[in-house]
Amino acid sequence: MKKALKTGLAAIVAASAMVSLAACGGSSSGSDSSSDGQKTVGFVAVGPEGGFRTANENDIKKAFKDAGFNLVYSPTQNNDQQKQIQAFNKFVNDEVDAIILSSTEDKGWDDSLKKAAEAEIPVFTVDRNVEVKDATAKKAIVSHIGPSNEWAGEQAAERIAKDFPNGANGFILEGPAGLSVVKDRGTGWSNKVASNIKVLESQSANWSTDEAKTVTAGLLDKYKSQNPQFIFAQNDEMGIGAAQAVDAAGLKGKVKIVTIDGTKAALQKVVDGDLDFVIEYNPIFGKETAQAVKDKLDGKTPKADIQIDSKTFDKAAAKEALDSGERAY
Amino acid sequence: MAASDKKDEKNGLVGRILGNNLTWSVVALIALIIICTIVDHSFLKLTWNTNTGGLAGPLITMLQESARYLMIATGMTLVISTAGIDLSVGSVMAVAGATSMQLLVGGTNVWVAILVSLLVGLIIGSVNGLLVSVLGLQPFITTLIMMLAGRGVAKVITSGENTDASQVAGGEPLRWIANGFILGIPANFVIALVIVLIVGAVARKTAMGMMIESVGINQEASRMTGIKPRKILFLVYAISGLLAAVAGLFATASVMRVDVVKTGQDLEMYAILAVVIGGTSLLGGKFSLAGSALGAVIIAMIRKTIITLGIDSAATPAFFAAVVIIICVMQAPKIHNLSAEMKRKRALRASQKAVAA
Repeated sequence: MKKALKTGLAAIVAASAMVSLAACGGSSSGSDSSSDGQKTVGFVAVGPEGGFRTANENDIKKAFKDAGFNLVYSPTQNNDQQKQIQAFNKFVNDEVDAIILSSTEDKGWDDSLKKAAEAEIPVFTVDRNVEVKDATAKKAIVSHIGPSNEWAGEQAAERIAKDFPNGANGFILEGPAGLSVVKDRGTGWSNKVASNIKVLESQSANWSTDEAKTVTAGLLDKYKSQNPQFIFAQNDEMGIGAAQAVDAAGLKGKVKIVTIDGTKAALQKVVDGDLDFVIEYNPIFGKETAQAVKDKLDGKTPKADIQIDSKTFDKAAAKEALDSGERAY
Repeated sequence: MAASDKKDEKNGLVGRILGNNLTWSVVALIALIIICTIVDHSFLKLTWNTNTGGLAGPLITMLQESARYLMIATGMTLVISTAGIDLSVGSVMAVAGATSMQLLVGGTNVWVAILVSLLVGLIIGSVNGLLVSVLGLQPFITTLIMMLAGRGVAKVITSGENTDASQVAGGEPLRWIANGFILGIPANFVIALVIVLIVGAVARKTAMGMMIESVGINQEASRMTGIKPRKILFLVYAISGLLAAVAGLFATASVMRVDVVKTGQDLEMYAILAVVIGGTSLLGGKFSLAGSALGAVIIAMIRKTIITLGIDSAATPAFFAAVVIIICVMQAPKIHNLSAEMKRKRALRASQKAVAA
């Protein structure tokens, strides 16, 4: 009896393992194209990691489906670049018609891009740009499509300058060190920051709400005597966490928080007065991406840098955007 | 003669204190606090925050953060003392957090949401326990798979979104658990401490602790003495899952928002570090809950130190690692016995010389 139970359990475990294996295989299959004239496009993606990414990737998937492409979606896990490179190389070996690359890191793509260039597969980078040194590798990239991170950083600096014409002290909450987004948003900030705005400390909170709360609480304690008045959080998640720490310290309204991304949750916090200003990082550019791929495959030359327009939200604009009910994420 | 006896006794006591892992953990904690106080003179200052109705200050936020580490470190201690490991605690935190937030947003009563989340943690822990105890799978592989699967489950529960329940009206009790105060002390720290004490009492006042240790030393031998290793193994993984769910509630309720990728990320490593700092051997067979609790507070303190010293964000992992290594080195028996060893070597050399002469 007991033995039968054991065997049964073993069978169930084995069966479930097989199912999950089969599921893994499913995502990469179907890459042999043009049986019905449909073009196959490989999408090296980041995978769902919260508001922005989910909205962005769903939009790209939908746009390519609408445009009649066969899009093969290959997400990585925990921002693992190695897995992305493997997926990319697999697409090159499968000789897909085009590759969309939403990279987690800006460096380390030279070899893979070189292979793509040799196979004459056009590559389109979306969202995060990649840094390429090799000349052959550079040729593989047709266009970059996405909003500008530097622009977003600049908007943040300008808003703080407007809020505090007489100068102020504050903090920056950064994403994990080494990501190109973090660098670009930081560069944008430094480009436009006013001379009387003093950043007491930049600290990483790893894009996380919970960590941002802890870090902000620590920074508020540490710099109490210097009267911090602003926080520039490089994404919404961290801004929301910072707002809670500010609230707990009884400083709500006294410390102005500016964030980048423009998720619904953050806009709601702007309306509620927890956040001061949100700069959108527009994730909806699937249509533009599909158009660029289509143009290239039709023999036209799409623009090398297709910048997607983003909005900024103060209290009134946030309320309007939420009331319209059109925000997708 | 009597005097030398006394000296020996004193040496024994000092030696015992110096040889005890707990002592070195306390020393490390105090050292970190001293460093922070030197850099930031108001580090030890506590004020009364009328806004939250509790004490406020760097030490208080540190205790608040340590609550979640206390929970996962306690579960991890029990698992490790059976010579196993539970890598799924971070993911269980995310699953439990996602469950509670999603239920709250869906309009479920907050207490039901809390109970269901704890139950989910218990179930995942039980599955781990079942696979390890009944099927005899390797703990490392079993919980590694659960770690990967758990993240996926959390994403499925929230459909890939970071569910925010901060606007939900009925969420107050949950928010209080993570952010409230009992007599001025953070509620989550008090709750965590009570849970640790209960686990400690059950483990040490009954034969449970000894049974867990004996399973860690030799399963077969403990089976022959009448202990049921399977039950014990199942139990420790189930408890670890449940405690990880509590930690998940602490982490998400703190901001009333689950971050499917970030909640509990890498925390299995912190739990293992806390256990190691606390003096529990990874080989199993021996555990110290008090040590792990201290280790958990030290982990929170290291993170506080990083902020207080303003360590560059690129260098924080390296700093963290360096501090942990220093603590481990301080605890190593080799270091403790260094003076005795040197004395022995000197004596050996002297005797060799004597022989040669």
